[in-house]
Amino acid sequence: MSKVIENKITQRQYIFILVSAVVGIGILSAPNSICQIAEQSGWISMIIGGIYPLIICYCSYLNYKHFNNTHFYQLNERLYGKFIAKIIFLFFLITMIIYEASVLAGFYNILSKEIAFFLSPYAVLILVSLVIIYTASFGLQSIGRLSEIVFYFSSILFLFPLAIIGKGSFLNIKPIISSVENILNSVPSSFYSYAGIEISFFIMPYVVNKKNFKKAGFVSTAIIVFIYTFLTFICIYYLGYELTTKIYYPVFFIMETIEVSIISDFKVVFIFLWSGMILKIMACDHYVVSYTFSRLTRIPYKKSCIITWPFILMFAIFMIPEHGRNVFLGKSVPIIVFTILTYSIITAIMVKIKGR
Amino acid sequence: MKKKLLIIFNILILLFSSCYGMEPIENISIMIGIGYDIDKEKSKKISDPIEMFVFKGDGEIERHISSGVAETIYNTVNDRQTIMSKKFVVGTEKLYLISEERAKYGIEDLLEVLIRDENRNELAYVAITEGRTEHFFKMTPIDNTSMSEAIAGILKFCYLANFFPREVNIKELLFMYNQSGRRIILPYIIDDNGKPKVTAICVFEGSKLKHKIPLEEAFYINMLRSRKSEGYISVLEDNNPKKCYTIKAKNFVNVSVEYKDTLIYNIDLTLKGVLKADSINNKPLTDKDAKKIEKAFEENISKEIEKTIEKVQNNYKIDCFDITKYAAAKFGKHSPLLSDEEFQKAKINVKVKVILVDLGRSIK
Repeated sequence: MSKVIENKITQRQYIFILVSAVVGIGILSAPNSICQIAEQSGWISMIIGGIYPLIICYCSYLNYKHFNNTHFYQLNERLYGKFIAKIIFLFFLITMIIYEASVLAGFYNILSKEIAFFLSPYAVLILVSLVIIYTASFGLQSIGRLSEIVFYFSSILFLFPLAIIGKGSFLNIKPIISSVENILNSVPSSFYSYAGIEISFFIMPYVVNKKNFKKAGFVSTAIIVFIYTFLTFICIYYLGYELTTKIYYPVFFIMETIEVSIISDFKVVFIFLWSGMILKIMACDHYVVSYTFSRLTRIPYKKSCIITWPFILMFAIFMIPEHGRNVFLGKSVPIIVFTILTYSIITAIMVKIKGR
Repeated sequence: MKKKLLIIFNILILLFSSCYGMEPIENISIMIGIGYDIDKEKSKKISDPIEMFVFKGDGEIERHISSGVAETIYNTVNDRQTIMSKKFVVGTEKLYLISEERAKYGIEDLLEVLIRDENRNELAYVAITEGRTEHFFKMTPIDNTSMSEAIAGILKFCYLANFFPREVNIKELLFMYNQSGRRIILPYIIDDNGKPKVTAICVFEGSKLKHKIPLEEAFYINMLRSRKSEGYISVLEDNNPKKCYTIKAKNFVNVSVEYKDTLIYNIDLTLKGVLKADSINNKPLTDKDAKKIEKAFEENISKEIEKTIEKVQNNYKIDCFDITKYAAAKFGKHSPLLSDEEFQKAKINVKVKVILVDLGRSIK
């Protein structure tokens, strides 16, 4: 327990932890899901959907403003009482386990489909999750450092699509707005891409320098929204919305069509760099899982890292074929996202009433 | 403790992530070209010949053509593997050939497979052939090791003349089929005394081949549908081949569209050319002469393009110029204005502009 509290992160690390907790598997399939209804205007829905991480970041800023450095669990206790605080934490625990397991399962699905079709699921799942637990057991500080470094490396990833910038056509983007109704209807599905930002509630008390804390939330939201919007825009611009809705991972299709003289298949390079991001997002999620678990059961942080492992594996095996994962997430994520949205708005109001 | 854990992890990762189930290169046949044929009368309709490289050891490489006959595209693999002594590797193919008969029958299944199967090579070239594709694979390659490479090379460099578009590959095929307001247009290859030759373009309606347009007309259609391609244009005097202007031109096309009772397409075709021959003046040229030559080309090309547009609208009756996509971009992707009827009624104004950027060595 005491080790966790000693962990401190800088404001820049806070920004990168938020970014790495959101940007993961979603960047590959988000263009596909958003274009189903919004068609060629999907990228506008993506920008509007940025309101979800913005709200969450602002709420965690309000928590800080009125309750200072109170930990999230104590804050809930003061606002709602002991019993309800436990329920809320249980909800967050399950949510984060679902997120982490879905990323783990999705990672295997992509590996098995695109490059490593000869590996058995258990080898990948167990090894990757062991590495994650090992990383997460060092606590928040090392996750913060890791997020920052890996982000710099893997941001090369977002330069690759620039290779096809001259080959697409603006005719695919036009007419920019054909139906306002469709754009607004597909905004909720962009919320699901931004799921994972809830980590900001948990790590907020550990930020050392809180001078421009409001700005940090905005900056991380801006980075996340930019990444998602950029990839969605590139996909529609290059493939047209018709093909984007037919191919589940449109970003891979773009990577396959990049012609570079030495490298025969650019997709492999992309997956290699992107794996770093996946390990990072799982480490962030596992930190929150173990943190909430240790708060609920009063088991020390490092032990709870290992105790939560079977749950994650169980959920992940449950989601192994990609279509099975989609069915599960399609049902659970909307409920989670809207519960968290309502919860954070109510908390913000309560904080304003009860806080200093 | 930490170090021990780290070492254990590394050993585990090495153990569990090796390439299991892989074969050395001598046991592998690498696919380089796939053909799609059809026998309409037989019960097993699909016949897919495949050209592949076989490694015999000692650096010896040979090519084999193996045909699979079955009911569907992937069932041909069942048939083929029964006679093959090597493992089959997908994803290295350079060429897709579709026979004319198969294209007329429809290629919906192939287009679906190309989207669904992520192992396919999106950068492979694609063309329609006269007669069976197997015949083309069985020709003797002259300056390449395999026929697939030979035909892929023809398609790769066809943009250097006749204004063929730069990309004639699977990726572009999928774009043409799926994006609204577009249709599939592919080159057509015939057997010219034992050598493959591009002689026409094939225009599809949906996934079925509708028209085959010979290169003489396709020259002007290509000029409007492709971007930044190259071609040689000549203006002859009195039909005498010794008296002509010739330019090597690069085309730049700008299209705007509006709707007043009918669709009106305004196409600005700019040809930036280098003068290659001028046997009419036959003297060092001045700026004034250059203007005269530009004018001669503009008149000639405008006349030919008008003739082509009239023929396309009245005879072929479908959009071969790939301009309906501009209407789709302006009036919405589901607009009723994208139909063939609207295209037949549409007014297409082409404004040709020829710019001579270079007059050659002989200038004043």
